[in-house]
Amino acid sequence: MNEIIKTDIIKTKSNKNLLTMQIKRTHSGCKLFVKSDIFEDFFSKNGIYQDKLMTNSDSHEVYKNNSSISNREIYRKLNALDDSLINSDGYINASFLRVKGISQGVTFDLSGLYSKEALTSYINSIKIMTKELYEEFMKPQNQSIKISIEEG
Amino acid sequence: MPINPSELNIIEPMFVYEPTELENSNNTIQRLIDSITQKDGNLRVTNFGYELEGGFDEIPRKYFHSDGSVECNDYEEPDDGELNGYSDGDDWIEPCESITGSGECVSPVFSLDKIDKNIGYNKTFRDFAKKHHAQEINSTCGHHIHVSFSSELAYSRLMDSDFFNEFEKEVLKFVISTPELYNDKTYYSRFIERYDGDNSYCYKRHSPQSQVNGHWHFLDGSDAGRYTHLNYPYGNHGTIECRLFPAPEKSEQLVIVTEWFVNFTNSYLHTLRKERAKKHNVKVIENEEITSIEVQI
Repeated sequence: MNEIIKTDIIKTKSNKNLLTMQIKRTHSGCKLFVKSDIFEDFFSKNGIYQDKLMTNSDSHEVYKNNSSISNREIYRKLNALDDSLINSDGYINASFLRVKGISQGVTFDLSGLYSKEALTSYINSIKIMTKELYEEFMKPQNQSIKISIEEG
Repeated sequence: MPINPSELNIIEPMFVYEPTELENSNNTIQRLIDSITQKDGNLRVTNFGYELEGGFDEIPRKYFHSDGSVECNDYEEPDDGELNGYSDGDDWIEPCESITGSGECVSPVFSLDKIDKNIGYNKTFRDFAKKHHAQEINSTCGHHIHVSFSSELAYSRLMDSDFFNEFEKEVLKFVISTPELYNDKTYYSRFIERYDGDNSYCYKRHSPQSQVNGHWHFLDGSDAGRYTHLNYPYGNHGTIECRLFPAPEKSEQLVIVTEWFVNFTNSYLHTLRKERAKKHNVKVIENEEITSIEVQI
């Protein structure tokens, strides 16, 4: 028996899928499904290492964090590899965005117990965070360059 | 201020415990057994236990814990030597076999799978509650009930605010509709004090997410610790603890209240399964920058 708490498909303005997330509670614990081409592309340029990531047992290959966002609060949330999904201070873990293979879709077995309200709030926070990150660092920029030639 | 029962919209109490009916009616016995042993979706209460604070004439040491919050007139907190033994020169003095003093009686864990069908409930529990009841009870004493579950999913569902809201509504109906509790004015006034959140060991707040990992502070920075109507010490005990009830003068009241909470929790888990058959609500939220499609159950 599974209980889907929330499914979210976040799209860009150009109707491209930015991030798909589904979170559900099952008899064997909480599961988070994540799929995103855009985030895998963003982090894959930084190299890779193996790490254990907020899960009960599985190890995942994780891309290094992107130094271009190191002065943003999300940088710390993307580095919270060993934390639970939501820690005791309410601080959320967004490190799943750095996992290799999320362009194909990855399901994480989460450790810990969560209320419906906490999980809904978590996904809403991720939604706001990823939107800001996309707008500031990942969105294709339309730049017009004006070239003028002056004849002397 | 006392609540007038006629002002409450009591539609149908979930279950009113009546010992004579329970002992004499096969239907009632079967209904209760079905309720507490139902295995629909395997979401159910498996075990329970309780803590009773007070002053005790004699209680086996293995069931006794010290508790500094209990203040009795006729009983003192036992010293450490009585509880744990002590060294007397070259000799080691063993701890006392039984304890006299103030503190709490911690019951064994009772399994719901060991039902005596001739009685209709867990005879071991009732016998224990009768045998080890406190001799002095006052307003500093609480009655805490622990329940554990068949799976993490069951536990998680009881962390939802829906459960807390339902509990707050039903527990008041239960106490008011149960003569053994409502007609005992001392018990009832102590219950209402706790229910209203006017007892510093029992705040009317719900914060399962911060309690579940043993972090006893709220996300807003305040610190009420585990002192809430419902406490979620999953990391410590794997249970949900109801701290709302005051310690009762009579063991019969303790039995009624404990069985109600176990039955209420079980019934809630059972009801959830039916509600899940409802259609999914689908809503589409459009945003200027990013559109979001949400499917929520």
